[in-house]
Amino acid sequence: MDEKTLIALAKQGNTDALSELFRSHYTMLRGYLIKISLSPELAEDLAQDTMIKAMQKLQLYDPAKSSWSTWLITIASRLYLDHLRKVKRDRQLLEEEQSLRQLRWRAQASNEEWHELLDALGSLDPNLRVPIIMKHYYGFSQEEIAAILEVPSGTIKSRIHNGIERIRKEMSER
Amino acid sequence: MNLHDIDEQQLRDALDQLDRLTHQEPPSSKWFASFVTEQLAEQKRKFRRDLILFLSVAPIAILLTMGTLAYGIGAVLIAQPIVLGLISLPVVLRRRKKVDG
Repeated sequence: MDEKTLIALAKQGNTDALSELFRSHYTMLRGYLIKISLSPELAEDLAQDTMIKAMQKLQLYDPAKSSWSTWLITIASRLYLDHLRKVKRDRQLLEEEQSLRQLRWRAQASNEEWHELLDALGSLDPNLRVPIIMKHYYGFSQEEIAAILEVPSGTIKSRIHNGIERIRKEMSER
Repeated sequence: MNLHDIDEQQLRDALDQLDRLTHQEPPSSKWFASFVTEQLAEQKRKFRRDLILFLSVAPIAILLTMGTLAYGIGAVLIAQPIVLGLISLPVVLRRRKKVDG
């Protein structure tokens, strides 16, 4: 069954169609949340919260405006930024640091060379990191990112600019 | 602005590494089915609870407004603690039972 049919069925209350939509996008959603939060544990919690939110707002979803995956990314990004507003900055930094340490250890254990760019991304404020990843990894335009994050397009432009400058500086110091 | 001297490919490689390091098979179809069913049931429970709350508060608000219009604010202020007491009585009794039990 194609995505459009599944969405139509899910909107009519078909739970099998809805769970299939979540199942087929779960890896993408979890992967996206890991990339922006740099924490697999937080990403899993937020992926579940995203699915719950999507169920609550299902009737508001318009397939003509965005794809199902973009809609999930929109909900996930806003939930992540909401989460950051709730936790204190120093606690968030500590959690990110611990998570990066664990990931570095995993890389070592699987004989992979650790990408130092991940440390540079980890040192960035998430408000700068998220738009950079959305633009340069997922290929969203500045206007799309602005709509997803509910921030003016000019702000996104300057956040990407500042974020890249900081990554550059961080990498040159290494 | 683009990445140029940092190299966009380098960023992609770094983030792809995260995918490899955290790779996990998605939960089974059964898990998703029960997750959806549970969450929908939870949503229904919440809706019913909110509806009951609304249906119990709305008549009191209407009665208070009508009372104010009919008997004046003084009578309503006297009646208010009695009404609130009667409403909270089941809650207090239930709590006592729990402590006793």
